[in-house]
Amino acid sequence: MNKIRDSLQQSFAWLSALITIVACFSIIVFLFLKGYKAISFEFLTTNPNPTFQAQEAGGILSPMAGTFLITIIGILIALPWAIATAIYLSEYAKKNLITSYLKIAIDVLSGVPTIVIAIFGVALFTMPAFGFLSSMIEGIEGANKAFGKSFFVCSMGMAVMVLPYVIKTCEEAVKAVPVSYREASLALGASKRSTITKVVLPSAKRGIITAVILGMGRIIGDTAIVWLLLGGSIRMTGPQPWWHFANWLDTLKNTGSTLTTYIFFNSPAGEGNKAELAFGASIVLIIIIILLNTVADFIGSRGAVKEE
Amino acid sequence: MISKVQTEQAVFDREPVIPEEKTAISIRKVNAWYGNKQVLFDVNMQIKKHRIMAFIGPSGCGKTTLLRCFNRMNDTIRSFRLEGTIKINDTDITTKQADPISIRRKVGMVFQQPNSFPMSIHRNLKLPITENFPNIDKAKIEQIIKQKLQDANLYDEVKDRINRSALKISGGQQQRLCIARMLTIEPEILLFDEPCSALDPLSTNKIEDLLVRIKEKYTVVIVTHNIEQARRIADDVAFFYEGRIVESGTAENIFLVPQTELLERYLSGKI
Repeated sequence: MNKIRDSLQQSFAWLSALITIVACFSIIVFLFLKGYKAISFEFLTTNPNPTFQAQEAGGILSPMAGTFLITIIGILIALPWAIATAIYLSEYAKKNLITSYLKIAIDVLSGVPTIVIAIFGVALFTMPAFGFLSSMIEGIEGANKAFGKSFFVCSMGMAVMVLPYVIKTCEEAVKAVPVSYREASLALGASKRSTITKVVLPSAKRGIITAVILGMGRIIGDTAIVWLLLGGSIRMTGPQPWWHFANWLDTLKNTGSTLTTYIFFNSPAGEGNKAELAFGASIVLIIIIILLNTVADFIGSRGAVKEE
Repeated sequence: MISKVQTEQAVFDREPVIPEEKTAISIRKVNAWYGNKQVLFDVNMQIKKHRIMAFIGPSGCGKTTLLRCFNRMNDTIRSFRLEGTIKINDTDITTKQADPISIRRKVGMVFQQPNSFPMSIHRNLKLPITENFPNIDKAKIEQIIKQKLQDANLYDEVKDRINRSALKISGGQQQRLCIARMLTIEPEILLFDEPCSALDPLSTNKIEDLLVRIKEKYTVVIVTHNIEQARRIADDVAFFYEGRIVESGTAENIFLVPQTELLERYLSGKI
């Protein structure tokens, strides 16, 4: 009887695992079958055009650049903030009410849907005081509002969105640094501040890099924040050429698209009619995310070996 | 209970008074608590300069707690509380005014487990130097690193891989690296908390040799579970039992003519 129950349980677990793997692979295989024809050197190196003609639709250069920009700027904003919070939580915070509120706030923030963060961003960044981050609305009488959509604004929304995940991963990394390192450093006459900056943080380096990569993965995959805070344009709307160094600040203050919104714009499910291009961009997106996860795994496992 | 305290007092009365200038650490009426649990009871002791003082006794008897008072490492434990005075160079280090950082620069410590940082050997040694002597020039740093590695009998073994990770050398070598690292800040007193308990006999030998050699320059206090080790290297010994010093004196006296039954039983392995 026990034997039968055991083998039933085992096959159930096995089946569950199998379903997960099949789901994952079928998505990837499906995307490849649907989209591999779209991918070419030209597809990766030309800017997209808003058109219904597939021949003139162009490629995904500026959406890739858009993804890259909001990922880098978003993580650059989130990381110092997250490291500081993680250090506060693990090194300084006493067990009191404020600390527990802070922890609850982080948990709640991680549960807030990204569309809610986005709509809050719209409310905030259309205030005229934040006009310098995007541009002021002109030509409409009586409207004293900022446009509220730009790469800067979008990156800030992304930073808030990934903050709780990056904080938690950084906090775990800092807490995983053995007490003995801290004691050694303190016993050598180092202050608490230098102990943290020169011993604890360098020892937590791998965990922090993992946090960065996980945060990047989330930013790359997000659509709602891009949709509301970067806007509904498939092209870079700043002065052209957008990649020219004389225009970089204007490019960042203007809008564009990312891979995720590019997929939306081209997919028949969104507002386009070029499914093949949407699938092509999806393949590129998935490949970027798989690469990032592989790098994170690699760094994580090397860290584990080293601590043994 | 009362009789035990009395014997203790009697033992202390036998001890000759040591002139101040030969005392490295002077401990008076030290009581200590973790939360509500008292772990040290009325500890009095003089630790002499340029000698090796060994703290012996069964586990949980307060040896390490007292040792960690000398460089204020117990500050990191929130529930810890201490009464009494511990004087180093005539300054009471237990007061709030005493700065733990400057105390720790005078009183180095080596821990039970080697705790070299996960960085290169070179960086392990350079960190405390630049931290303690901010405006030091590069050549001087290199000179100190070499000198201290030699002092710790480690230089020849690691000179070819000084820029490799300190975690890649053996446990015994790491422990000697920790000793070298402690020496870089030019302390006067060296504390060792069971430095050999995680090491093989050969590495233990090397560290014992090292301790005997460096006591000319420094004062050494070592906590050990290993009675044989204390016998081999200690000049003075204090025997702890349940938070009290039951007996203390020169190593010869302690090992050859124990005055109390407790010490006798401990030395014969019965407690």
